Amino acid sequence: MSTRVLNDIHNDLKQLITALTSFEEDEEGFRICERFCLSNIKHHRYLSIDSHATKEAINALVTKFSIHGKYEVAKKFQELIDSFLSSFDFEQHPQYDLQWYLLTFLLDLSTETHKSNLDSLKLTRGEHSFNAGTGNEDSVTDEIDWAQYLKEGQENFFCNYKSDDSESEWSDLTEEGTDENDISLPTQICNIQLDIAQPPKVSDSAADKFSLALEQNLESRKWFLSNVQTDWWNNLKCQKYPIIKRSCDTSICDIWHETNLSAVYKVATLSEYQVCRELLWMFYIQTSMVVFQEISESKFSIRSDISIPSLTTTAFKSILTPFCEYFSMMYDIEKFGSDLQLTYDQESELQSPPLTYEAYNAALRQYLYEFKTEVVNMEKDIMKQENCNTFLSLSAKLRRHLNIIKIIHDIHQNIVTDWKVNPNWKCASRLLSSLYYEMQNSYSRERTNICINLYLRSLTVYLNIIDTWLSEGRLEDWRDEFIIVRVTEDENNEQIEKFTIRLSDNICLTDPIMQFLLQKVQHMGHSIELLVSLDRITDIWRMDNEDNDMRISLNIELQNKLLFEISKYSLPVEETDTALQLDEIFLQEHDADIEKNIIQQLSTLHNPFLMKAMEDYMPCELYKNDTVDAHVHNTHDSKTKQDQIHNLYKELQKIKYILPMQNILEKTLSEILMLRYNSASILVKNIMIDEYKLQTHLKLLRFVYMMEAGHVMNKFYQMLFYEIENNQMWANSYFLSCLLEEIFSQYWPNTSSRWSVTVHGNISTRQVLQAVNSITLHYTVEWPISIVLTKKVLEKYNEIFRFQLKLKWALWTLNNLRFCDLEDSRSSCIKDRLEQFQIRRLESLRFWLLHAIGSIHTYLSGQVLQSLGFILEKVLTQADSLDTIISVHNEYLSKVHEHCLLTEEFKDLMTTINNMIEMCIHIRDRWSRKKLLLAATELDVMEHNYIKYHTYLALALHNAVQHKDADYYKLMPPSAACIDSKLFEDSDKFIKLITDLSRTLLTEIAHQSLPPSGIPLSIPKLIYERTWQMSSESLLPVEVSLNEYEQTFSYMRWYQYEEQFFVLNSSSCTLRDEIKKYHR
Amino acid sequence: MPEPVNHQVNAARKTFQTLYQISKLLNTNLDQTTLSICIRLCENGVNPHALANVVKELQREVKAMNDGQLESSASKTSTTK
Repeated sequence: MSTRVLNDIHNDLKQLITALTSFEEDEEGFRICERFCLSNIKHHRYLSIDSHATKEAINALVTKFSIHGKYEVAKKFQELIDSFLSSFDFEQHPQYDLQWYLLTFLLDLSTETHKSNLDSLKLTRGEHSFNAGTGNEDSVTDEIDWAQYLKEGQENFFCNYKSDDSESEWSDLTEEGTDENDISLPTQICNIQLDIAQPPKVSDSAADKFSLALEQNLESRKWFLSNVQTDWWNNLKCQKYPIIKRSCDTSICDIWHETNLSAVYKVATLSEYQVCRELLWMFYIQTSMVVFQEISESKFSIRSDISIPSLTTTAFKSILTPFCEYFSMMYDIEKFGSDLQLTYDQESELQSPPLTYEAYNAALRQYLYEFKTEVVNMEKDIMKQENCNTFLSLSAKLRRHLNIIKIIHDIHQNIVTDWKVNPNWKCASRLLSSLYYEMQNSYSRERTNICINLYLRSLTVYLNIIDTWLSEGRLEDWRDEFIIVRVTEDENNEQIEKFTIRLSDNICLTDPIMQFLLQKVQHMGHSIELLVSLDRITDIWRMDNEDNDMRISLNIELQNKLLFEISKYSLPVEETDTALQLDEIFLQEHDADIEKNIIQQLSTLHNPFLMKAMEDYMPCELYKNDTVDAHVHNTHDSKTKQDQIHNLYKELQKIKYILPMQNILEKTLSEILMLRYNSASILVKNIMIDEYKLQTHLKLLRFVYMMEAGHVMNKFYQMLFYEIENNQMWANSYFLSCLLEEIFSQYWPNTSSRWSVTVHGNISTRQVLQAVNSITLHYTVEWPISIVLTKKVLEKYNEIFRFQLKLKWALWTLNNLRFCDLEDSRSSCIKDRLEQFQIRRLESLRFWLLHAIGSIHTYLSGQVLQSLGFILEKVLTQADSLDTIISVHNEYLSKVHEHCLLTEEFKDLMTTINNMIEMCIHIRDRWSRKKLLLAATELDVMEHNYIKYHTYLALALHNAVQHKDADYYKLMPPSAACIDSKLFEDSDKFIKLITDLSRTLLTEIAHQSLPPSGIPLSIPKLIYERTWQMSSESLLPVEVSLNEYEQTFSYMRWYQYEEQFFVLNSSSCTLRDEIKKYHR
Repeated sequence: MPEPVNHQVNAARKTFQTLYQISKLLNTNLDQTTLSICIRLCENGVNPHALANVVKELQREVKAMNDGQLESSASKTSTTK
C-alpha cells in the first residue's frame, strides 16, 4: 500500500476509535486502542476475501431466517442484498470485490441474528433517511403508529422533541391499509408525500368506525361459515334444512308432518348430502351417529324423528333400513378380527387364537379394505358435489360391493367357531374344511372365487407348518392347530413318540384336500422323523442348499403353480382384453427397461453400500455378490406373496365359469409335495440300504427262513431232526442255538451271532412234526431295521420255516427208508406172495408219498419262493422310499404265506398235507418186515387214505390256482331250516343243497382241470343233510346215485369234520356198503 | 455539480442506505458514522475480517468498561443512600 493510503487508513482508524470508544486522542486508552488496531490491521493472518464463501454465508443466513420462521425478514434481507449489489457499479471502484468486502465485514459483525426483525429497519429518532426522489436530504420524518392511532381512536397526540415544521402537514393523513401492516417502511410514508392519490377522508370518525365494524362483522361471519362447524346434531329439534325452491315435492316432509295429526314430535330435516355422507361413514365405522343409531351390539336402526325434506320419515326409514343389515355384517366381521387377541382365560392361561384364523382374518380385512377405499372414493366424489347424488344413485353404486360383503358374511357365519372355547386344531381344521365345502357347494362364481381366495389364504399356515416340517425336520406348531400331532405313547413300557391324526368333524372327513394332505404328509413325515432319529437331517439341508440357493416357500410355489393352471383355463377371455393387456405389457416393458437400467447402473457403480440399500429392489443374482452379510432370503418374498394372491383373485375373476378347483388343487399339491419332499424318502431309503444293509438282511432271511440257501439249511435241519429223534435232551434253546451257530458261522460269519433258536413250552416229544411247532428261529435286529422286520413279520417267517421243516422232514424220512430194511434180503426165508405183495404195496406207498410231498416241495421252493424272491429283489431296487420297501416286503411275505397254504382259506388243504406228512410216520414205523406182516389192514387204510388225499389235493389245488375266486359254498342256496346248531354258525362249514345250476357250473370247472391221475372227475351229486351224520342208519340223501369217485369225494368231505360228526367207520368200503344197505 | 456526478453521489447514498439497513438487520450495533468510517477503511483495502475483529474488540471493551462504571456508580449510590 502507498503511504498515502496508509495515512488514510491511520486517520480513519483514529476516527473509528473515537467513534466507538469516545476516547480523545491524548488519552491513554486511545493510544492503547490505536496500537491494538494498527497491529491487527497490518499484521493480520486472514486470507483474502472469497466471494463465493460470502455468497454462501448470505444464503445460509437467508435459510436460517426461513427456518426460524422469519420469512419476511429473509425476504427483506435478500432484497436488500440484491439491491445493494445492483445499486452501485462496483466494477469501477479501484478496490477489487469491494461489495464482498463490505458484506463480509457486516456478516462478521452480525450478532443474534435469530432476534432480527423488521422493526429494526424502522427509522428511529434522529436518523436520517435518504431518498433519491425527494431531493430533500435533510427532512426528518417521524413515524407515527397509524394503526395504533386508529385502533385506539384517540386524538392525534404526538410528541416531537425536535422542532420540525414540516411534519404537521401530514400528520392527519390516514390510510386504511396501514392498520394491518406494521411493516411500513419509511419509504411508504414518503410516498404519501409524493402526491399519490388518496381518497379524501371525511372526518366523521364515528361513522367510519361503525361502517368498519359492519364490514368486519360481515367478514368474520363469512370466515366462520366457511371454516367452523356448529354442532347442529345436538340441537336437532331446531334443525331444519333450508330449502331453496319450495314446492310440494321438495318439502313433502314438512307438509306431511304438519297435516299428520299423530305427529307429536318435531321432525328435523337434514340435507340429502349430509345423510349420504353419514351413510358412507357408517360403512367405515359402525357406531351411533345422527341418523343411524346402535340398538345393541351389531344391530342398527334409523332414528325416527329425522328425515330429508323430500321424504317422509317412513319412506326415509324404509330406504335406509336395508343398509342397517350390512352395517351389522361389517360390525360382525370387524369384531371377529378385533377379538383375535391373546387373552387370558379363567385359569389365567394364555389363550392364543390359531394362526389359521389370523390368516383368514387378514384375507377378510383385505376385502374390507378394498370396500372402504371404494367408500372413501365415493365420499370424495360426493363432496365435490358435481353430480347429482341421491340415495338411489348411492345404493346403485354400492350394490356390487354390498353383495360381496353379504357373501363374505354368509361364508363367515358358516365356518367360524369360537376359538376361546374349542381347541385350536378343531377350529383350524373346521375352518379349512368348511371353506372347501362352501367352495364346492357355492351357487355363484363370485362366491366360489371368494371362497377360493379365503381358502388359499387360510391354508398358508398349514402349508408353512408342512414346509418347515418336511424340509427342516421340525414340526413347529406354536398354536397347537395342526391336525397331525406328536403323541407319546406307552407301548410295552417304552415311550414311543408317534404321530397321530386328530380330526374331529365329519366335515373334515369329507374334505378330500385335507385327507390328501394328511396321507401324503404323514407318509413323508415318517421319513423325516426317521431322518431326525437317525440324526441325518443335516443331509437334507445340504441337499436342498445344493439344489437351489433361493428356496421358494411352499406357499409361493403353490400359488405360482395355481396361477399357471388357472391361466390355462382363461384363454378365451384373453382375446377381449388384448387392448388393455397391450397397454399393460407396454407399461410392464417400460418398467422393466427402467429396472434394467437401474440395475445396470448399480452394478457398474460397484458400491456395496448402495447395493445393500437397494437390496429389496434388485434381483438376487446381483445381490449374490454380497459376501459380507450372511445369506438372506429375498425380502421381496412377502411383497410378491401379497401381489400373487391378489393376482390369483384377479385371474379367477377373469374366468367366466367356475373352475374344477378340487382337481386343480389336488393335482398341483401332489406335484409340488412329491417334487419337494421326495428327496427325504429317497434319502431314507438310501441310508437304510447303504448304511444299514437292509437288503443284505432281507436276503439272509430268505436264505434261512425260506431255505433258499439249501446247502446250509440242509446241514442244519438234518442235524436237528437227528437230535430230536435221538437226543432226549434236545429241547434246549441253548443247545439248538449252538448247533445253528456252528453251521452258520461257516458260511455267514458276520451275522451268525444274530441267529438263535428257542423252544417254548415243556416239550419232550420225539416226534419232529410236533417238535417243530414249538421251535422258533430268531433273528436279532436293531432299530432302524426293526421297522421293516417287525415281530409280526418274523413270526410269519417262522411259520413258513416250520412248514418247510415239516416238508423237509417228510422227504428226509422217506428218503432214509431203505429197501433193504424192508426186504431184508439177508434173510433166507422165502417170502410168500402175500408178504411180497405187502412189501410192494408199502414201497409203492412210499413212492406215492414221495411223489406227492416232493411235488409240493418242488412247487414251493421252485416256483413260489424263487420266483417271488426275484420279484422282490427287482421291486426293492426300484423302490423310492422306506414305506414302499416295507409294503413290498410285506406283500411278498403274505404272498409266500398264501402260497404255502398257511392262510385260513386253505386250512383244509393244509390239513390234508399234514395228514400226508403224518402218514410218513406210519410208513416209517411199519418199514420192517416183521411189523409189516401185522399191518395188512392198515395198509388198506393207508392206501385209501392216500388216494383220498391225493385226489382232494389235486382237485382243490388246481381249482385254487386257476379259479381262486370260486367259492363253492356260495353257489348253494341257503336252506335256513338246517341251521340251528352252533357248529354251523360259520357259513364256511355250512352244508347246503347244490342246485342244478351250481352243479352244472361245478362240472364245468371240474372238467377244465384234470388231476394228475388223468381221470376226469365229476362233481358229486350227493348232498348232505346234517342229520345224516348223526347216525349211519338214519337219513340218507334224497338223490342217491353214487359212483366210486363220488363216494370217495363225499367221504373226504366227511373226514374233514371227523371230529364233529360221529363217523363210525373211516373206510370208503364201509360207506358204500351202508349206502347199498340203505337202498335195499 | 454535473449530472453524472450527482447521479453517482445519489447512487452512493442509496448504496450506503441499503448497507446501513443490512447492518441494522444483522444487529451489528453500528451507527451510520462508524459504518461510513469502516466503509472507507474497506475501500482503502483493509481486510474486513481484521477490521471486524478490531471493531468487535473495541465494542466489547467499551461495554465492559461501561458495565464496570455502572457497577461502581451503583455501589456508590447505594452506599451514599
